[in-house]
Amino acid sequence: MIGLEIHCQLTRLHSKLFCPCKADYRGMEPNSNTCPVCLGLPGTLPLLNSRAVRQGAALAISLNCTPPERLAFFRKNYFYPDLPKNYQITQFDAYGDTSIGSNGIIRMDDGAEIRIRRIQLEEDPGRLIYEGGSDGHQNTLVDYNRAGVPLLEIVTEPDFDSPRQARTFMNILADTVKNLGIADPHLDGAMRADGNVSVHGGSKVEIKNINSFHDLEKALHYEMTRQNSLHENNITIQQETRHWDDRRRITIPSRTKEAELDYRYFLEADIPWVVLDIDAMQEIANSIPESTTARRDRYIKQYGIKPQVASALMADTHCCHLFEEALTPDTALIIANILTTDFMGVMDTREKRAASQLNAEHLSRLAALLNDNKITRAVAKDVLYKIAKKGGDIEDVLDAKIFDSSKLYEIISDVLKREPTAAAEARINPPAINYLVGIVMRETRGGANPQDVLGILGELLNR
Amino acid sequence: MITEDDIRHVAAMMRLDISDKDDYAEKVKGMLEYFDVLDSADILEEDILVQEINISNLRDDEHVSHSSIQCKSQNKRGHLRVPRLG
Amino acid sequence: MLEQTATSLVDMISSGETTAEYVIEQTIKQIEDTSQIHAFLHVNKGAVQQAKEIDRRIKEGRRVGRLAGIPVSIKDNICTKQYPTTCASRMLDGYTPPYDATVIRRLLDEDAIIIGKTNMDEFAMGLSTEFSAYGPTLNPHNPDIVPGGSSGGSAASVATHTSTISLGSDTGGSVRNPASFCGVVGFKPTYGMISRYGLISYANSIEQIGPMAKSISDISLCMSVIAGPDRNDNTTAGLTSVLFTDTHDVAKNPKVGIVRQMASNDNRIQNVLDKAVERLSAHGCTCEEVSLEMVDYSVAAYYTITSTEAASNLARYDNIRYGYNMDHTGYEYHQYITKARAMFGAEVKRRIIAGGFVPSAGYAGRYFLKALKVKSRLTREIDKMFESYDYLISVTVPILPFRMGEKVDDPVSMFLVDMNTVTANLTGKPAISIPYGMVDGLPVGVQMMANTTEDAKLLQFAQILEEGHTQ
Repeated sequence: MIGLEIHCQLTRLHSKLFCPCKADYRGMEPNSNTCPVCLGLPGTLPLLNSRAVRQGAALAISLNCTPPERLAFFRKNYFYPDLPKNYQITQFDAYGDTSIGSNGIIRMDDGAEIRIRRIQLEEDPGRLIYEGGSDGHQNTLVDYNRAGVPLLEIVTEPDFDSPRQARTFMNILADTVKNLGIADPHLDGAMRADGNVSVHGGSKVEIKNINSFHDLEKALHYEMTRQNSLHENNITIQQETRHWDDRRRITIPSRTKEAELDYRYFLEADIPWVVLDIDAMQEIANSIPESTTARRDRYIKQYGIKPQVASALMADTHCCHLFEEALTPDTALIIANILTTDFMGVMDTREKRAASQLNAEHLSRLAALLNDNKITRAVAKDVLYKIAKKGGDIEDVLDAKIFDSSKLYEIISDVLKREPTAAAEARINPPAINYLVGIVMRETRGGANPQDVLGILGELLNR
Repeated sequence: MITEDDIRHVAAMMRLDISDKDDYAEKVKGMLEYFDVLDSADILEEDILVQEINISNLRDDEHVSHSSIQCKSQNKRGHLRVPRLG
Repeated sequence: MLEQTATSLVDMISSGETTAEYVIEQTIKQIEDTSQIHAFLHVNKGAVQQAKEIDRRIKEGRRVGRLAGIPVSIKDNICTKQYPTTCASRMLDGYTPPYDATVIRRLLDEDAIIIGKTNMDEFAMGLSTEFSAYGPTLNPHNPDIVPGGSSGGSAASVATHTSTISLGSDTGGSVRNPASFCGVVGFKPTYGMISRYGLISYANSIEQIGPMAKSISDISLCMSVIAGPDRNDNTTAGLTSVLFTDTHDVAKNPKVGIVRQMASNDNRIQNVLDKAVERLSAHGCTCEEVSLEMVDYSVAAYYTITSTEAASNLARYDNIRYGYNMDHTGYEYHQYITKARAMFGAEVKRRIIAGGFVPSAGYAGRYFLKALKVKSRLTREIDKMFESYDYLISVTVPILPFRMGEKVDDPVSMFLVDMNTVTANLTGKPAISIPYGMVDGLPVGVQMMANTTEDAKLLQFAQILEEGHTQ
């Protein structure tokens, strides 16, 4: 069984969770994005960011969580140099459900249901840098620019069957936060996941320090294999925290013993309980764009798009936008197919697709041509490749490429007139037709569909 | 029963050295034993009262930059040097 | 001159009858003459210069603030950008904050002169000012007696006329207790009435900054300057501004409850309360004994909550970002901070250890939740009481000011001194201590409480008990 604990920074906010320093700390001089509050100077008080609360509630609603009537903050106490106050302000459900979300659920494509235990709004610690590598270092350096950056911690139940499913979940979550406009999951460190793994009802092992979705799958896979082999050899699995070593591609035991930590959670009285009344929640709910799952279901129902195609589309916000912009009721299905097979085929990463010059106008024109049988699938694919890579105008590309049936008839008739011997030969000896096909293809600079050419040639020769 | 070991354990957790002459264990035990009077208060069913705030009274999401604050032992680049982590 | 109240000093300075410069010079001289009391940890060297500036503006006919030229002293746990703020702890030896507390900004905006920083129990933990790392403050009425605490320096300063108004902080009586022991007026407002931004936290869920002065009208004047919502403190957000200088409609024949659980075993002290009750009755009040059952558990709940919050609030003092000089070469991080934190005094260490126990995994339900429930029940009980009564009265402290050293080594006996004061903190209600008699040459104060946000009404009503009050 696998569960996940995900930390997602609210990268779209202007200020930190409890002070007016920048939420976007990236690329700043060390310790230049600080103030008395986020440095935890004596006498300072946390000032909760109202938009962070709204964004957290929006994610909670999107993940089908029950929002609390009142939001409470707690202190998690432990000494560590990345914590300016030596406690972290976070949430905890000691007195009823007071976290920003609890008891949510996400339905996966394969029908699996992943339960969300809770979502908490909390502050990110500062950043530690180990001078001279993480082993045998002599000094630790601290940069508090990140201290106080708003985080949502999303904790799932141990509902994943496989590492692959956990990775898919991360992609869905990444799309959800992006769709909500609350985070840019691909920024370095903006979305981090810890995993916990147990096999055959054994102890739970937590895996930290995983830096990408790809590594998450690898780390979980490694850990399951490790635990299974211990189990087969009747070795008891210890409850522990392990670190993913991304160089050696293995998990290793952590130095700090999590189990021994006593966080002494208690109420943070400097932040009164935030009342989320019906009006406030309604306002937040109204501001939420259609969720990816709801939109996916709508695509399937409304346009007859296959579930896998719809999911592939939803998994890429850029493609999704192109689709929404380009579609008409008649062409939606065609556009979805072009995007998920041809476009994703030639542009095989999100980054490439996002940078591509293909726009909605291109797509709707191509789809209209296909729908009217003006061009073949092969031509459409070819045009799309060219546009996706180099941009330009559909008609210009097509001028060199496009041959609707009437034009093809004309060209083929001309060829037959110029090549009477070859035509006669082909009537007696069918394989000789290939010579004529070759001439037509040359004339059309490869733009004609050979199947079409063959069809028309056969028709004209037999006349 | 709270033992001297418990006191030493908590003192270490609080990063306090209690090897000086003050009789911490005895005095802290005395304090905690005094807290036991809470056991006799008939309040188990009581709902806790807390201060509340409306979401509209919370801080607006605005960035205001603060002039840089000099901390102890910052290096040239601005990083804080702290003792190594064991 | 220095015996004057702030209200009359402001008039004298702005009318030209005297100058701010003269007042401040006299005050500085008085601080030197009473230095053996040890009320101050830091004296503002630039005070006279600041006073001259105010005089110049008065001469030029320019507007000056409502506290123009008034010497105000500040407890050393309130952040001042210009002066060190140490909480009377070696941990913050030489620390000067990079910002002013909201109350400081508001005082300076009204041209008050910050005359100095006053002594206190380390991090406000104590009620005798004997736990200052820089040595105790003496009671101006008798040098062998404690001045009360933790705002002992502030009370002693007002009593010795080295400041006309002083700001203290009150977590469980830390303003009212020393006010009672030193014979001055001390006020703990409704929780959230004054911004805590810049008050160095001890137990943040219940503490408030509170003014101390020679008269109730000076308290009102000071409140009118420092109280009111502050964007830097979320716990002030729900409260609307209270007008402290206006006259409020008060009940014609107010009902006053005498809290039975707060009676003193010392007849001499109880007599002071009886006289106060007589006076109230003579003024048309109906006074009768009432019972607040939860008061019996209030001190245990108070220390449970304060030690827990203190342990967390004081965790940040690890000598990493600020603090005193201690080289970390050769130390591991946890070793280093443990060594650095040895600079806390014994009482602070004891409370941190107790506060480490209370919310720890094995004990969280046992102590902390019960304390919260007692706090909640007490609040409901007192709210109910205020449906029938306008004010509650008791003595401020059930015992006489005690001798130096008498209770230093016995934390639990020290706890009981707080019996009458912690209720106002646990329930968030405003409470005032007014000097109302002497026993054995030592002052005894009477405490009155009112309902939430009725601070201005309470101050107005309490004037009945002020010496020389006629009506």
